[in-house]
Amino acid sequence: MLEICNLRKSYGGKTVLDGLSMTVQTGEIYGFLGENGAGKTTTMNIVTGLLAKDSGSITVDGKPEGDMETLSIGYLPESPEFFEYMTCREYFRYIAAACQYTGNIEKRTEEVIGLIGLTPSIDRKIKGFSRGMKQRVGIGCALYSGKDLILLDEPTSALDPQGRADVMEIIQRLKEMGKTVILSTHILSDVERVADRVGILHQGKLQLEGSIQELLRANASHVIGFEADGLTPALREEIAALPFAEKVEGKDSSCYVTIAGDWEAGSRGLFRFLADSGLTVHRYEESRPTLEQIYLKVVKTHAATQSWG
Amino acid sequence: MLQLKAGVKKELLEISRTYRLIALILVFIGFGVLDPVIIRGVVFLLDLMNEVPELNMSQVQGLGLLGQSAGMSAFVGDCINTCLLVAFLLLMRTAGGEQKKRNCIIPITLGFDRECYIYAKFLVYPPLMMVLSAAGFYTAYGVSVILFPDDRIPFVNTLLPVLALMLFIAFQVSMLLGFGCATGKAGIWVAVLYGTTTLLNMALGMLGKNQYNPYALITHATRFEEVNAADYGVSAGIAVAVCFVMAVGAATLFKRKKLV
Ligand SMILES: Nc1ncnc2c1ncn2[C@@H]1O[C@H](COP(=O)(O)OP(=O)(O)OP(=O)(O)O)[C@@H](O)[C@H]1O
Ligand SMILES: [Mg+2]
Repeated sequence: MLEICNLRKSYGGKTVLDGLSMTVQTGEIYGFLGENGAGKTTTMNIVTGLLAKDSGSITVDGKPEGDMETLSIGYLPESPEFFEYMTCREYFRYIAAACQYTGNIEKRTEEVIGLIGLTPSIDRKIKGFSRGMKQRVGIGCALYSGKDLILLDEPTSALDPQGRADVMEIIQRLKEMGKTVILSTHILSDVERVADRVGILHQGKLQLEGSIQELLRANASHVIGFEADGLTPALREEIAALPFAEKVEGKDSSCYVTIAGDWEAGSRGLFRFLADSGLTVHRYEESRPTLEQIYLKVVKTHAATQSWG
Repeated sequence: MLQLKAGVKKELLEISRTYRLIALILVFIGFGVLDPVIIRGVVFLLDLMNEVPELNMSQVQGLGLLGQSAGMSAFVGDCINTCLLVAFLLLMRTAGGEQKKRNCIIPITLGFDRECYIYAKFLVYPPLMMVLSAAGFYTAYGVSVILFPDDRIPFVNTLLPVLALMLFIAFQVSMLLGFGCATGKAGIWVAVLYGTTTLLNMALGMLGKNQYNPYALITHATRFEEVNAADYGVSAGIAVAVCFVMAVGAATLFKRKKLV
């Protein structure tokens, strides 16, 4: 759906994108991650044609780049601004003209407003809307025309938990409708919940890209924690000597084992060891790696190996 | 076409829903009423002073001739100064301000044609300001007819001056829209245009060369008797041409402009 190749952009002397390449497949939700100032917004502005790139190529839907605006990508900018003196309905009519909607405009307008859950406020001026409501209006605009590629730049920033949950639900629904969504956000648990694949932008390049499962399997450390009576230092050493145990921590009766390599084999092995040792195990939990750990790992690794700026 | 219509509607909603229209009407009509009244007041005072024999008022006798045309001229003066400045300030948002606030990003990334977006502004604001200035002008005319019943300018003699005023206002508003939208910096252009109008008009007047350019329209707007047809025609023609050049130029530049 979207292919970015070797994209470069610098502001004055400051390099923001330094050979960014990424691929977004049709129908997926792509979590676009990166710290503040990593260049996520810059990338999105370039893809939508609002900002000029220095070099690199962008292909949307197989079409080589050209006038990005004619591709009419649905875009929710970072802090969206509207014509606030219009009512919600009037604004969407204006949007209908913008994307040259050819069907029944009134019907589509009501449909979209229903989808974003603003039907009760359909004839109120946007000026009086809360931030969450405005954010939804922005998402409504992005999906109005029915274009297949939708870019959302921090759609849940500054929303309360309920508002965030609502927005995430709308995004989930977009996926069901077969849209391709690029979602930039700092809320990693949201990404984990909805995204199929993620890319982590750091120091101008995509440092990591892949499906969430793949990344979790390949990148995170896996920890098993348990509590057992009669856990002696000797036993701890025995555990530490197991081939899959990378690190053993904890004190008294609790123990945390970091598994190296194959997570499933390690888990099985440790379980067998505990059963054979005759210990009474009170608590046993596998702590699944989170996207956050992967993210922090990427950021830390690259911060340590290179200096940037 | 659909987009042009949507654009025009957007501008009309903007100006009416944000109280800009009411403010503009108040300013134009307000000066239309106020200026003739002030002139009448001055005439009244001068008459009073003339009745006091101790005061030697012979030098100011001439002022006693202040009549309807003085009332009208006072309005024209305020119209191209205060009213225009108020109009400029109220139009800053549409002439580039909304680019800075980025309100136009969503529609434009969705495919709103940038030329339509600009042309809609030119279809709304210059005509609207022309209507407002004409309304103010004829308010001043009506009030001064009542206040100066003996000294009446025939209605036909007001037609060319009011047209000159309307064209001058349209010329100024188009310049603001053009430069503002093309650069996205409305505030600077308000200052530049307001400053140049005042200075240029003064300079040209002092040099006695205020002819054959849009600024000469100000003089034509206050001339109720004979008209220099050639000067009028050329000045009006240039003003109209500038309006079109501004519209086309702004649309062309805005098309290539990067918005963030
Ligand atoms: N117009 C500009 N002029 C100069 N530098 C800019 C400009 N816009 C962005 N930058 C710089 O480019 C870098 C990337 O900015 P960008 O907004 O793309 O980051 P981001 O990943 O979206 O960050 P955030 O998570 O905070 O939104 C930042 O360091 C910023 O300072
Ligand atoms: Mg950003």
